[in-house]
Amino acid sequence: MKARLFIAVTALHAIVLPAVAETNFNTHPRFEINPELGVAGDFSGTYKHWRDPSAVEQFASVQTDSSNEWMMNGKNMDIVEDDFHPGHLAVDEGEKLVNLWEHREPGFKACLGSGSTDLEGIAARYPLYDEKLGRVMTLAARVEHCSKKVLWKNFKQGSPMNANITLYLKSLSNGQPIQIAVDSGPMKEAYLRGETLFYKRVGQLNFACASCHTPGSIMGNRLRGEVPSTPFGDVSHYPTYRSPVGEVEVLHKRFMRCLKQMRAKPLKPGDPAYVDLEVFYTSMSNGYPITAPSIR
Amino acid sequence: MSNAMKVRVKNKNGVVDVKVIINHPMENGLRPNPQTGQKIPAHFINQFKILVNDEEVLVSRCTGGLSKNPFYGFKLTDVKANDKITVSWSDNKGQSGSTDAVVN
Repeated sequence: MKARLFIAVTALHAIVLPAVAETNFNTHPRFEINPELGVAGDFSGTYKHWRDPSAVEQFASVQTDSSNEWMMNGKNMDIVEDDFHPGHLAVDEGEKLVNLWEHREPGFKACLGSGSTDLEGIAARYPLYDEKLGRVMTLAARVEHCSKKVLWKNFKQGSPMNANITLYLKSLSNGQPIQIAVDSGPMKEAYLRGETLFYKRVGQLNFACASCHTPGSIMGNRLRGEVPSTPFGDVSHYPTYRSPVGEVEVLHKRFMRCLKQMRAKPLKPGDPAYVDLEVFYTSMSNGYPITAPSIR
Repeated sequence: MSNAMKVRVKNKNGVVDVKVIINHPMENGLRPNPQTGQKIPAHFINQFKILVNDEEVLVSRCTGGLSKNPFYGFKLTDVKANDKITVSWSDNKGQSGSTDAVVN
């Protein structure tokens, strides 16, 4: 009798299950992203609008319509001739801090540049896998590590000091295209983990990053007052001066704000999950020049 | 260190475009501290001055109504190349700052 009932229940499942399996509450449907293409692999179809400054100027008429402004991906804010905002003050502050601590503890710059004191262009290669430390390092993690190791201080990730130094280092690579390799080793593992996190649904609203930033989702449509844009090319202007927040915001703080809006518990800046997500996001900006300091 | 300021001067066909940004908290004295519940004491710029070759051309008296990190932008005429433009401010706590810039 029991066995027969079990079969009956299983048969019922067989009828019901296919309908349930259509909506997956754990992950968002995936899109094919080719990490080799970098920023050119943009799936939103808006890449032609913000490919370079001349394209941004050419499509300047697009931004006049508020519902089409998302197509510019915010890059129209980078080509303003007289950009003058507190981000410049943060760069000065960061430069002052680096020179001050280099003066007090020689070796700080060499640690930041992993051996060389020439800091120009290093930001374009981050995040990278550090073989000595055996982990994937972001630029902010490098600043934290060097402050601990050389200065015996703790410029924690997410703190204003760390943000200012990170922004200063990034401003030294202004105009250089982002070049990170995610084709092999630990960087590829981090990339794949980050890709999984991009599609992972979390929080009370059961949102993933992909719920707002993939074609066919909310991207390009109104989400309350905002129109979400493509995730491609976004890392190139972070850390950025955010006028709604009134301070320089690093990428991990932005992730925290996103998670809060998704009614999920934010992780701390520098969390391994955020590092993986940063690797994935940076690979989506591969080949796009850095703009720092920037305002958003 | 916290009271840094930045000045940018641009000469365009005889009209000099000056842009100033000052790093200042600009507390109006009415905002409560979320931790203690007590009001944060007022701390704002109350005088902002522009001097061209040590001669006053603009004096602005401001209050706590200005935003944090105030930004000033204005245009000057009748200014020659190599003129010295001095931007200075002072606040209600007696702090002050000034920067010089030379017209290109």
